Amino acid sequence: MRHFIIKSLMALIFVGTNAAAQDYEYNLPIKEHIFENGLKLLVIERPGDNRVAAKIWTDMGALNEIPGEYGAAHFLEHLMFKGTPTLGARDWETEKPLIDEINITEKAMIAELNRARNDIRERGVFHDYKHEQTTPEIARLQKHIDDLERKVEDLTIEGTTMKWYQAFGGTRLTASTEQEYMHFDIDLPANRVDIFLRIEADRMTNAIFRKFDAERMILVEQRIGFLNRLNSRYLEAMEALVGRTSNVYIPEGYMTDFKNYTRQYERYLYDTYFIPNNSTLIFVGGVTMDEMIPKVEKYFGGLERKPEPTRYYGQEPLPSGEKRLIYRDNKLSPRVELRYQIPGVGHPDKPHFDVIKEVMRYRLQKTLDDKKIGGSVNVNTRVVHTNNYGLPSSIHFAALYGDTKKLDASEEAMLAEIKLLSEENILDEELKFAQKTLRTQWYRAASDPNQLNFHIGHFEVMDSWKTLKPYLEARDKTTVEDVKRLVKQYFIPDNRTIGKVIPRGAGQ
Amino acid sequence: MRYLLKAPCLILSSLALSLSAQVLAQDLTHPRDMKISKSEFKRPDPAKYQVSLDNGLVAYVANEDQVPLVSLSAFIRAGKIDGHKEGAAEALAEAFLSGPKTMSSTAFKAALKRMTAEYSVTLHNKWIEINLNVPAEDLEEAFELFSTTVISPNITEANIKAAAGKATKDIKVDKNGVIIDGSSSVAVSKFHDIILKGNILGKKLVSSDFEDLSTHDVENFYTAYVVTGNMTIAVSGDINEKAIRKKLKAQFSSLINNTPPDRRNVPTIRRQKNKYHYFPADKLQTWLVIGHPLAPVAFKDETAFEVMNYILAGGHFWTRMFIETRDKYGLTNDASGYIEDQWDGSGSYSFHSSSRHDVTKQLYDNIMGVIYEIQKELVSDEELMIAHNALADGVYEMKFKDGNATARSFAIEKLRYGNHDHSKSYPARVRSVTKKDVLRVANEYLHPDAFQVIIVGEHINLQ
Repeated sequence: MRHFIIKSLMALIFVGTNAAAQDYEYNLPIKEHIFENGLKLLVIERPGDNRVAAKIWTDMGALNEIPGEYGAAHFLEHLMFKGTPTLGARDWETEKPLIDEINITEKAMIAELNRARNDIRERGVFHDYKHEQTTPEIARLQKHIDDLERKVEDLTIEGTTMKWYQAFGGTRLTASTEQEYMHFDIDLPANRVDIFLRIEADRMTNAIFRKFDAERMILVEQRIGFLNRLNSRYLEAMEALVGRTSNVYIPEGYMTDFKNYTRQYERYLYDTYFIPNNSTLIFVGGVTMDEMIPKVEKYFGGLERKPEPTRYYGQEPLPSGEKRLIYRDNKLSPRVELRYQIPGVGHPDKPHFDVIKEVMRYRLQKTLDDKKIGGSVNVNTRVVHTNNYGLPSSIHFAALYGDTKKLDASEEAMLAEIKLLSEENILDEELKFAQKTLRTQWYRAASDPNQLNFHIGHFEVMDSWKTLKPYLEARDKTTVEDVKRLVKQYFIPDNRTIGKVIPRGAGQ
Repeated sequence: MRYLLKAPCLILSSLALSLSAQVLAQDLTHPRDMKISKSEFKRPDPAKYQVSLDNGLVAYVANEDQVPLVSLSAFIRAGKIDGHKEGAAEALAEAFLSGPKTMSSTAFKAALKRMTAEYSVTLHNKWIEINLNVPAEDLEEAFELFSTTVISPNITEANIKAAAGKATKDIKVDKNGVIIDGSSSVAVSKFHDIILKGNILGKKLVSSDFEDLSTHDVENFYTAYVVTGNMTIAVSGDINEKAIRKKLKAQFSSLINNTPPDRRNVPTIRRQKNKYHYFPADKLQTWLVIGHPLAPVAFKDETAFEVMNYILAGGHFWTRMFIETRDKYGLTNDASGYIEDQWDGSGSYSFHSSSRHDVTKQLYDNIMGVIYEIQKELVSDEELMIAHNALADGVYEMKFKDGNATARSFAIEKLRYGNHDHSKSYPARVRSVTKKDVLRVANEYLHPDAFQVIIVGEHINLQ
């Protein structure tokens, strides 16, 4: 009942002020320690928990990729599961020269590809000319790499980083790469957290990119798995229309990108960004900051601070006109969707858009039902973007139908409802309900140490962990005037992208 | 590629240097040589959580106050296979979804919405679970709604119609018989159709099955099965345990303590001769399901079977199947084993994977290779050690990771086994599994000669 006491006290303190703004407490006792080499450690101590949710976050992701190598950051995450000299090698002394030779051979192959590129460039742009991007020399070098890889295979113990986690009771082992960050995760018995520190310090320093070409095919599998979903291509087309300059509007690699990945580019990303002063360790569970500091020092303290990596400095230009997508597909449910760009995490308006999202979820469904237009309404926002990188987020309002008859009426009704919101105040109970919904969602997430860890890390990379609590509190302070002001300011035609899904042959 | 042109030499030489420098600086003791403490976990004592009412109802109450939320769950030993009238279980599940007799379904849904509740009713083959999660500030109202719904659900014609509306729908195919939206779930559904043909566990109701069903039939089903000895309750979260115990007694004491009907006799699912089943689908991948019915696993073999599956294909990153298909050869994103456990009867054991079409044959061969291997040779000491620890210190601990998980685990265990001996003895039983046990159960419960191989996607000859 500890938070109830705090609540009651606050209620007493703020009697007579905006009660909705002060009634709720977000229990986030995060402790911070920064080591000399720049590594950041964040801990939420939960005495009595037998386990701990542990994650290491690195400030790099798809934003840091270059065209032609989209998905390279995600691929790097996969490669970082392939072990180190001390994890996964049967005989490192024998393996190391082979790895070196693979890298040298790849370098020669890249040089040959660059030399030959003028002969073969652009032929495949529209897939009307299928060429092999190769020369006899490239083929020879590739075969040499394949032969070397087979020798390395005999010297490799697969899955070593994973199996030792499991051997010590680790669960929920995974990793994820988003546009702005990468993180590696494990849930462990709290008194075994050393195994996490041992493996992750090694992983961020000594990764060996074994099984490079086999792993490349896993990205192909994941890509075609994604494309198998009926709505994938539509969603990608919408994303491409909403944004203009940033990688965040681009998928994690097209098929043509996967074959371009090289060990050297992956090594560049790894050496540049996987450094202590670009990383954050976060623990939520049965550990204390006092016990974690010497443990982290033991495993990460010897790592040197490196030059601060170049940050993404692109700036998405302001929207300048309404855009429309007509997407023709016979299998996908007809739909109409409105998207608006809104500020990213770190902007003071962003928390209010979470409230607007919840208000609109019920408003739009009710409006469409009342007008006998119906449909299944879906409202969501992209959460991954941060104002710190000049990247807007976006809010999406979609209505799905069994046929196309009501698409035009649906679009008209949704636009009318949005216009109404810019002119009239929403009801106070609508606002309070939206805020309660968001609080409950947060509590559900925070009840799980793993999810709580995720949210802290997400904010730390996108803005700062210190702004997570104010962000949550700001949602409780949103007013009806805020809603009206922001709808009026952001939901304007020039900031709008409209998508419609119709069957092939329709509307032509 | 601009980075490559600028810096490759520098990168390579600095890699070598930095690697050796870092190796010296870091503590790189191999995990097997690290002094890692034993897990301090001790399963909570169920008696501390248990509340037994005079009418025989057993509930579990756990305080978990990290966030102001409360979870209320009911577990009832009655499922799709029970009852004498087809569709009664499905209609009762709909009744639970529509709330108590004392209010309209619309009012019930409005109350749930007002509370920002998460509410679900899940109908399994042999049991039903009802879950309600609400903010602690709504506990009073939620407890009332939950208890009155369980004690007196609003059984109406509308429930029957709703159940009929959710009846089985055919997988969509085009005019050439090609599956329109092929997927892993389509392949699993086809697998079930094949192995459960003619068995009550495979029944698929269509809307016409509900035509003869009356509210009286659903009432009868409810009265027969929703009795105190046939269900358990779990309440957890930001609660006053004493107050909740009092509430449970006040609200659930009226439940009747009758003996539920004997369960319908479910014949053992019979294994069939190995066969390949091809279903065309127009997708970029082909999905494979390889498996057979699983005879009831004897209690003495239960943990050995789990250890065997953990090493072979246990749904995590380090299994023989995962390494031989994904890690080494990049054939698939995942290849894992699935045990469908039917509580007190037979189920199925199958392996699921998918791949681009051109490597499906190799994927299949590699999956079969590791299956044959685990039937022929003893697993290694290291594999056995990892499986022991992963199951006893990992999977098992997670079942009791907090008050919510603990109350739920105990409530389900009590309903299924009648006591808590199963969870008490689990770690010791896992750790007692030997390499010979693993080899024995791999041969006793795995039967490649009875595998039904489902291929959804591009045709390929796997034989």
